[in-house]
This record gives sequence, structure tokens and C-alpha cells, in this order.
Amino acid sequence: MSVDWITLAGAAGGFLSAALLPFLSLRPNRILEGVPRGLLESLGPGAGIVLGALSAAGILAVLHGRRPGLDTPGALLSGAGLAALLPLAGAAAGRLVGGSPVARVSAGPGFWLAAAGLGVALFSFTRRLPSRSPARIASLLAVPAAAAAAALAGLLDDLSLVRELAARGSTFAAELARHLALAGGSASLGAAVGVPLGLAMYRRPRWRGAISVAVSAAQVVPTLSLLGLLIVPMAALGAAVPVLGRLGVRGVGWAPAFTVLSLYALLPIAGNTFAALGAVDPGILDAARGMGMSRRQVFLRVQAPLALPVILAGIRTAFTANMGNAILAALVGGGGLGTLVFLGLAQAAPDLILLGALSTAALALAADRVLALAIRGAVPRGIRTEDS
Amino acid sequence: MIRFRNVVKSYGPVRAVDGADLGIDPGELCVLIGPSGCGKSTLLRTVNRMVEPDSGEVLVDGRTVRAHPPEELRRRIGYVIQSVGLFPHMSVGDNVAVVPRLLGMEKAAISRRVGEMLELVGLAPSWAARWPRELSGGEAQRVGVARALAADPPILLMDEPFGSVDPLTRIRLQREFLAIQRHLHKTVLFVTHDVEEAIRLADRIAVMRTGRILRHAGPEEFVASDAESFVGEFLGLEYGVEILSRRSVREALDYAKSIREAPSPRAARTGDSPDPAAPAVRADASLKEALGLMASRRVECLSVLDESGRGIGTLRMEDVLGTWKACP
Repeated sequence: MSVDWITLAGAAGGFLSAALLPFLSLRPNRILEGVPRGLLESLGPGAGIVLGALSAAGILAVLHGRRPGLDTPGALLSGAGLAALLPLAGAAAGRLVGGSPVARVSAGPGFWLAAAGLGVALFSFTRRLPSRSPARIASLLAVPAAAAAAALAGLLDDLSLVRELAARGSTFAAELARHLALAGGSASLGAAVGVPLGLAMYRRPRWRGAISVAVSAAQVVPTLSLLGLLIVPMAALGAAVPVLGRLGVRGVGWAPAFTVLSLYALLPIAGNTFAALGAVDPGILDAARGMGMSRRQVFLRVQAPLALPVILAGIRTAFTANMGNAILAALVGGGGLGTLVFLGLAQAAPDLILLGALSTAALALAADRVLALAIRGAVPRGIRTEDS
Repeated sequence: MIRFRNVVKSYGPVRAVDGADLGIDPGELCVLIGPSGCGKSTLLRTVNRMVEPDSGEVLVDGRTVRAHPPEELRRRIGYVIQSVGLFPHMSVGDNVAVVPRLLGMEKAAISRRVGEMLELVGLAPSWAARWPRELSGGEAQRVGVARALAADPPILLMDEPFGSVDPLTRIRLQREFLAIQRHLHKTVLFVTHDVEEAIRLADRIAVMRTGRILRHAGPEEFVASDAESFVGEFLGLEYGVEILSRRSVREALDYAKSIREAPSPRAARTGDSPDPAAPAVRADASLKEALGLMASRRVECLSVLDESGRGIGTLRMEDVLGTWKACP
């Protein structure tokens, strides 16, 4: 185990891709075919930063086993390289478009694979550092900080993704809000129903089978067909109950999408709740009862707090999955970031597709991290684990 | 203090407890012992109504336990189990404070009590801020004992409390618990399947098999009478050696010196000035240890030293064996 092969592979792959594959691509307008531009051509002397960071990561990965203490420079160098990538590309885009308002510069495979290689290296190096070490925090924060600073400074304005966003700013904001409402609302409903369902499975062994089948059934049917299947009953429901109809419950629109996403959230939440309650050490429950706690006290003071981390993990899974799955809502006119993706597909505009897809992925990642932090705060210290 | 009258409890076709009768005096440490599945844990759990008997009666202080709601009854009976069952999401102090809080004791009184209890089981009061997962098995069980004693219950139920710690820790916990018990005089029902543990701790031992109490007597009363019965078989032939752990070398020496007053051929040789060639044993060692030393050195006498290392007499093998019968 003297060489860190994963980091080495990432760095070498990133280096070769950056050097050999098109780094940026210049299109006269947003739909026309792009003209590839290499790394040197795009970045000029800036290419040295990218290649330097990648080769440094590779060398440190080779030396990894022989010299301890290389993780700190490794993390800092790969973090700096990754942080520099986006501002460099933004500046290059400004030079390449040369003042044309319709020309588009987008990232090519060289850019993405260099970013991926540096990302792998950054992840491997930081993972070996203690969780609160300054180098770890600095190298992890450098990337979003540099991106934010470059964006604020207007350095990224000429990248095609940013141009696309600027052209669709208000739509994007509206769809983003809708996406959040759809995914977050449906996951919340899933939690509000799923936790009691899990509790019922635990408390009533007779209902266990039925609930488990019902909750899993939603998971087994493919999302798309479930959306299709719901058109008729949802339309009927909206027609039968005028209040719901006025709220927008129809065969298409937000209602079927919200329903499907809520159903998808049920399994991880109900399943985790059931498993978490059952996994509490029977000796602990015996002690609680034997000390004179009532059933209610045993549940509220002992069993529920001990099951909490796993229940919350299920809710986190559901939220994160729904952030991604909500992209499908656009298929039935439910709105959300999927609207941008499907519009981009219809217009053959890759920037629009990318804008929808990347922001959805970023949203899912952000939801995961935020919930992980929130859960960490909610779980009592005595049963907290380091890795959440 | 605790009285079982013809207690029966069945699980399906199995009679876990089959007409058990037993009386435990106030301040007595009664060890309930028997092979696995003999019903000893089930019987113990009828006292705090964790198990409700099918028939028969369990009396505490002359009143049937069914006269009290189970929760209230349990808050007045200490409960220690093998798995300890500390609540991992609560600090050590909060664990100890569980029953006082359930009883609605005042805050200041509770925190004072937590400190006292931790000191009682040999832990510094500052340990109240620790978390259960930071404790070793032995430390956790000390906290378990402190938690059971926190509301000062007159009765303590202990279900194999030292069963899951290593042998050295177990002996230390037993010794410490005995010291606490000498001080507090709780009425203790203690379940174990470990004969040595029973001998070390018990005021009286109740031997159980297939749901019945076969015999309930002081540890020293078992030796001669039960050689052929199940009780004798279960306790084992080494019981005669194990029981010597209850007596100290000093007791044997005092006894030997006391019969020296009487005219006897042995008196001339025993308890005399130390034999310098004999291996030394401390006066506070147990007779079992003394016998072990004799066996391993292949000698029949040991010179006895007091705490300061001064020789105070000679202990002979026959004194070890003789003390046993003669001492009350």
C-alpha cells in the first residue's frame, strides 16, 4: 500500500485528458456545432496551473506510502488546482468570444475530466486528514469560494452556461423554487406519513406485511409509468372534489408529480423507522421498564431517541432522492428544473440541458449535506457517529 | 421481606417456574443459582412484575406485589441486569438520575445523590458528565449498580450482573459490591449460575432446578449433606475447596490458637512461632488461597504474616480443614 493508486489514476487521467482532449468548445451561437479548443490554446500560461496541480497530485500519490505528512500539501495543491479551474476557464471564455454577444464557450471533455481528476485527488487527500484540520477545511472551502468570487467578479459571464442562465434568469428562479417546493414538500409529506407507518409496522406485527407490500409497491413501479397511471385517477379526483380541482389537482400538473414523489419517499422513511425501532437493544428497553418507566416513557425517553439517527437518515435519503427525481415532474407539466432539461432537449440546446441537470445535481448534493449537518445537531452526543 | 408462595409461570407447554417457595429475610443477600433454563431469572422478574405469575403469590413486606401498579413498584426496587442497559443517549449522571427523576425528587437533591452514588461505586463524581460508550464493561456495570441504588430502594434485584465482564473485573466488582452491601444492608435477590460467585456473595444460597427451589441454606451448610443429590452434583466436588474462600487465614489461626488452650496433641505444634522455612502467606488471604499455595509448593504448613510483614504463627493443612467444621 505504498502508492495511492486511486489518486494516481485520477491525476494521470485528468492530466492526459486536459492535455489531449478539447478543453473548451466555441460555438458561433447557442445551437450551432462547436469548434474544439485545446488546453494551451484556451488558457495560455494558465495551463501550467492545471497541469502543475494534476502532476503534483500524481507525484504525491506515488510518494504517499513512503513519506507521511504529504496529505496536507496534496489537499492544498489539488484544492488550489480545482479552485483555479473555473476562473481560468471563465477568463479564457472572455478572450475566445471576443465581444460577440451570441457566441458561446462551453466546457469540453478536457475541462470536465481535469476537474474530475482533481476532485478525486482532493477527496482522497482530505479524507485522510483529521476532520477539523485547517488544511482540510481550507482546501474544501477553496473551490466554492473561488467559484463564488469569480462569479461575483463577472469572470464567468462569458461561459455559455452563465449566458444561458442570464438569458433565462427569471424562469430559472421560478422553476428552482417550484423544484424545491415539489421535492421538499413531497418528502415532508412522505415523512409525515412514513414515520407513523413505520411505527405501525413495529407496533402491529399483523399489519406489517400489508404496509410493507404497499410501501414497496410504489417503489417497484417505474416512476414514469406511475406518472402515467395516475393521470386518470387524479383527473377523476380533481373533478369529483371541486376544492381539490380548484387547487390544481388534475391528471397533469403538480398533483400527480407530488403524489408520485411522496409515494417514493415512503419506503426509505417507513422502512428506516421500522428497522430503527426494532434495532434498539432489548436489554436497554428491559432496563427502562424495570426501572419503572411507563410504556409511554420507555418510548419517548429511550426508544425514540435511540432510533432517531436511523429514522432521520431515512428522511435524508428520501429528501436527497426526491431532489433528483423531481426532474421528472416536468414530464407531466409539474414544473421544476426538469422543465429546463426537457426544453433543452426539444431545442437541441445542450447548455439548457446542462443548466437544468447540473443545478438539480447541485441541489441534491446540497440537500444531502445540509440534512447531514442538521441531523448531526439533532442526535444526542452519546450516540453520535463521526461519519455523518 | 420477599416471599414466594407456590409461584407458577408457564410459557406455552414449558413450566418455567413450577411452584417455587422461598422466603428472603430483610438485609439478606440471597443468591438464586441453578443451571440455564431453571427459571431463576423468571422467578426474579416476578418480584418487580416484569413477569406476572400464572398462580401463586409474591409478597414484598407482607403485601402482594399486585397491590401496586407495576411502574410504582419498580421505582422502589433496584434492578441490575447482565447487559447493564445503560441509556447510551444520556450521560452517566442522567443515567443514575433516572429513577429519582421518575419519583419527582428535587433537582438539587438529585444531583447530590448522583455524586454520592458514583462515589459509592468507586467512581469520581466528575464521571457524571461522561457518556456510556466511553466506559469499560466494569465501569459500565458500576454505573448500573449506582443507577439501581440511586433512589435508595430497600430491595435490589440483580440478574447475573457481573456475568459479562472479565474474571478479574468480576472478582473486583463482587468485592466492591459486598463492601457496599455490608454498609447498606439491602435485601438482595441475586441470580447467577456461577458457583464461585454464589459462595463469595451469598448470605444464603437457593438452588433451583426445573422451576423449583431445591434447597435454601447458608453456603456453609451445603458441604456435607448433599453429596449424592442434584444439589451436590450441581455445586460440584470443588465446592469444599471454593467454600474456603469465605474464611481468612487469620480466622483459622485464631481458631487454632484457641484450641491450643485445650490439652490436645495438635496444640503443641499449631499457631506456634513461625517456621522460617515455610512459604509465607498474609493473614488476610483466604483459606482457599492458603490451600492453593500449599498445593503448589507441596508443603503442609505456611508461615503467616500480618499487615506489617511480621510473622504471627504457622498455619497447617489440618487447621485449614479443621476450621471449616469447628468455626460457627
